[in-house]
Amino acid sequence: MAVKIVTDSTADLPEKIVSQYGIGVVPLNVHFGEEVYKDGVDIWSEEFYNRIRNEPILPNTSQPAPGEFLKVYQQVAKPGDTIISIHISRQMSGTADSAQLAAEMMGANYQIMVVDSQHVTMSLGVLVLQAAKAAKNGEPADVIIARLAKWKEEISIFFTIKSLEYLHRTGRIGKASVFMGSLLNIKPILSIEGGLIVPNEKTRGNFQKVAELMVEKVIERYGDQPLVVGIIHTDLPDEMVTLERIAKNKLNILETVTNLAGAIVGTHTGPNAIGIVAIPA
Amino acid sequence: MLQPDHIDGALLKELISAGTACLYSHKAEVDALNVFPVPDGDTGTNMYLTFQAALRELLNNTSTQVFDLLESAAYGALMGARGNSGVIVSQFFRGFAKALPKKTVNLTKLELAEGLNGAYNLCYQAIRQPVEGTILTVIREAASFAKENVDKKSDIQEFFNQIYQYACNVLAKTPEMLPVLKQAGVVDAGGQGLVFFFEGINRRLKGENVDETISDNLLTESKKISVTPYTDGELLADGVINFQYCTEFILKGKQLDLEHIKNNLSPHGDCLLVVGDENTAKIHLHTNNPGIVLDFAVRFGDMYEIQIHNMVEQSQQRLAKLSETAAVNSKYGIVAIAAGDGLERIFRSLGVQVVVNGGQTMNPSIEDLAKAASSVSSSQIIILPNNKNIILTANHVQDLLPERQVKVVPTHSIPEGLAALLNYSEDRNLEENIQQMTEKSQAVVTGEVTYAVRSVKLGEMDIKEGEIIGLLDGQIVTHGATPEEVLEAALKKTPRANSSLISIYYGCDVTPLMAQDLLNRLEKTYPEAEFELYYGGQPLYYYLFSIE
Repeated sequence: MAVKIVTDSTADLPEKIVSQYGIGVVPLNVHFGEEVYKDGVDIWSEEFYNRIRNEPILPNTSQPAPGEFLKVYQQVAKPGDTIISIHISRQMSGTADSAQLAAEMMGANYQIMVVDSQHVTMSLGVLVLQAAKAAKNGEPADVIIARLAKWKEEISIFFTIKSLEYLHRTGRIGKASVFMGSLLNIKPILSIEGGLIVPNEKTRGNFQKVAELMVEKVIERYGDQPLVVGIIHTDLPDEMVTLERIAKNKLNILETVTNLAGAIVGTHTGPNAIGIVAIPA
Repeated sequence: MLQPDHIDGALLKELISAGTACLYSHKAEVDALNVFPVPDGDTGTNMYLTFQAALRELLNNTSTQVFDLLESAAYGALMGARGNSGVIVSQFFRGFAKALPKKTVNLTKLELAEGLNGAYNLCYQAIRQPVEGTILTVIREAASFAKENVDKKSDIQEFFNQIYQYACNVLAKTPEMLPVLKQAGVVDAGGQGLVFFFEGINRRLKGENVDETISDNLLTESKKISVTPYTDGELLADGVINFQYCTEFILKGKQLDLEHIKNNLSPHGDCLLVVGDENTAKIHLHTNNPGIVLDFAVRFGDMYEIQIHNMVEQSQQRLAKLSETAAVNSKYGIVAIAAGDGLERIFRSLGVQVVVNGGQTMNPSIEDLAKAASSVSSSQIIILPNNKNIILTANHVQDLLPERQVKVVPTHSIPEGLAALLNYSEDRNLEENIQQMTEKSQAVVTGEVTYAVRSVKLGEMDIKEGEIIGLLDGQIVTHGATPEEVLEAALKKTPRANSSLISIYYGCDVTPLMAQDLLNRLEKTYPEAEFELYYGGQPLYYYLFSIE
C-alpha cells in the first residue's frame, strides 16, 4: 500500500537522489537523425554534449512510448500501491499523455495519478524531490497531491541562455521569442509560468552580473526564508560554480541540488543555459 | 493476387509494409509541415518510426489471422511510439484491433469499417483535449465515411480507394479548422502522414509496386538506416536553407541503375530520394543547381513531371505572414529618433517600429514625429527622443494626436534610448513602462566623440575649431587630435570604467579597422571591463559610447 513516485528524465535529478528515494524515471528519447537513444539510459549527458558540439546533425526529442511507462510502473510498484507520476509541462511535451495511457492500461490493482508539473528540468526535479520526501515520511497520496498543487505555485526557476536559437528551432521558445533577433548582446532572464517559458528581464553585461540578478530575483520573492535550491546547467561548468557561490553567499539554503541537465533539456536549450530553482523548505 | 472481398493475413502484412514505405519516402515532406502542437519538424520521422515498430512486430508474427497480426502491430506501436503523433498511431492500431472479434481471420469491408471506427474512438480517448484540424479529424472522418458507405456496392479495393480519397479531402480542409495551420499555409502534418500511409495501402491494393528497395530497408534496425539529413522543417523554422531549389521529376528509361544515379546526385544537395525500378524512377533533391541535376539525369532516359520550387521564396512568404501578425499584435508603438543606418537597425531589432532620422543638427518637427507616430497601428505610443533638444518637441506630439495616448521617455542620448528599450516590456501597462524605462535610462553614462564647430576656452581647455572633443553626459571633458585618443582620454575620466560594461557605436567617418584597433587597446587598458563594439553609422559623432 505504499506511495511510489515516478517522473521522467526531463526532471534532471542526480542519480544519487533517484536511488536514495527510489524514484522511477521514464526516459524520453533523443534522436540524431534516425538514431534514437533513451535519455540517461543509452546516452549520458557528457556524451550528449560532446556530440552536439561536434556533430553537424542537431538532435530532436520525443516523448516516451506508453510502453516505457508500463515498464517503469511495473518495476516500482506492487499491486495495491499508489503511484504519483509527475511530469514535464503538458504545454512542452505530450509525455503526460503517454503516462495517462499507460496508467489506464495498468488496471484496477494500481492507483496511478498523473500530475502535470507545469515545469521542466530542475524545477520539475525539485517538485519530485519534495513529493518523494513526503512519500518517504508516509504521507498519504491525496495529501501529497494537494501539497504538489501548492508547491507548483511556490516554486520559481530563473534561467539565462546565451543563444535562443535552439529553443526557437525546436519550437519551445514560448513568449521568450520577444528576445529574438536583437542586434545588441542581450542576456535574457527567463522563467517558467503556467507551463510555458516566459521572459522575465533583459540585461547586459558579463555572467557574474546576470548570476547576481538571478539570485536577486530569488531574494525578491522569498526574502530570507530557508530554501531548497536547485542549480542546473547545460554544460556550463564555470558559470555553475559562479552561480552556486553567489547563491550560497546570499541565500538561506537548507539543501542544494545541482546537476548537469540531460539530453532532452540540452537539445532544447543547446549547450548554453544555466538556471536557479528555489522553493521554501 | 487480391481477393476481391477480403484482406487475409498475408495481404495485411504487405499492405502495412506498403503504407509504411510510402510514409518513409515522404517523411521529409511531413517533417516540413510540422507546426502543431510544437513546430519542431519531426512529425514525419516520429510517425514513420512508430509504423516501423508496428511493422516489425507484425512481420515477426507467423499467425495467419488478421486479429493476431493487428494485435502485434498494436503492441509494436505501443512500445515504439515516438512523439505525439506516434502515440496516436499506437492508439489507431490498438483501437482497430480491439474493435474486431477475437480470432478474426480476414478483413472484409465490414471489419475494415468497424476497425476504423474502433481506431477513431480510442484515438479520441487517448488525447486529453482533442483538437480539430489534426490527424484526429482525418481518422474520425475516414471512419464515419467508411461506416456510411460500407453497404454500398463495391469491392474492398474500391471501398478503400474511396476512403483514401475522402481522407485526402478532409486533410485539405485542415487549415480551415486550425488557425495555426492556415497562418503557416500548411495542412496538418500528422494528418498528412496518415494519408501517406493510406496512399501506400491503396496503391498496393491496386496492385502497384510501392518501392521494394524501401521495403527492404524497413526491416533493418532503425539505428542503421541511412540518414536523410534532418529536413525542411527545421531549416525553414530557422530561416536557413542550405539548398535552395526543391527539384523533382520522374525518369523513364531502360535498365536504370538507381544506385549509380543516387551516388552521382548526392554531392549536389540534400534530401535526395531516388525510388522506383529499372524502368521508372522518381527523383527528388534539394540543390543549388537544378541544371546540373537535370543534365545528368537526361542521359538515362526521358523526364516527366519536372518541378522546381524555390524554397527560399516559400519560406520567406511563410515568415512574412508570421511577422505581419506579430506586428499587428504589438501592444505599444515605439518611435525612436536616431541618425545612422547601424543605429536604426539596432533600434528596430529591439522592437522599435519607426525610426525617425534626426539628431543633434537636424531636429525633427512636431509634425514629423506625429506623422511617424500615427503610422503605427497601436493606440498607445512611446517616443524615445534620444537628444535633449528633441525632448520638448516630442512632448507636444500628444497635442497633434488627441485620439492616441502618447508618452515620452526623456532620453538625452542614443545610449539612454537603448537602455530604456532594454527595460520595455509588453506585459507592463504604459505608465509602468514609462517609469521603468525612464529610471533605467538615467543609470547610463553617455560618452560622445565629435569635433568642435568653433574655438572655445573652457576652464583649462583651449579648444580650437575643428579639434576633436570628448563629452560625458553632455559636458566637454577632453580634446585632442584623433577620435581614438579622445575616447581613451574621456574613459580615463570615468570612475569605475574598469568594472563596467562599455558599449561603443562607431560612426560613418570611422573605418571598422580603426574601431577594432581601438577596441583591442581598450581591452588591454581595462582588463576587468567588458566591451562591445557596434557599427552605428551616425554622422558627426565618430564614436558614441555608454558606460553602465
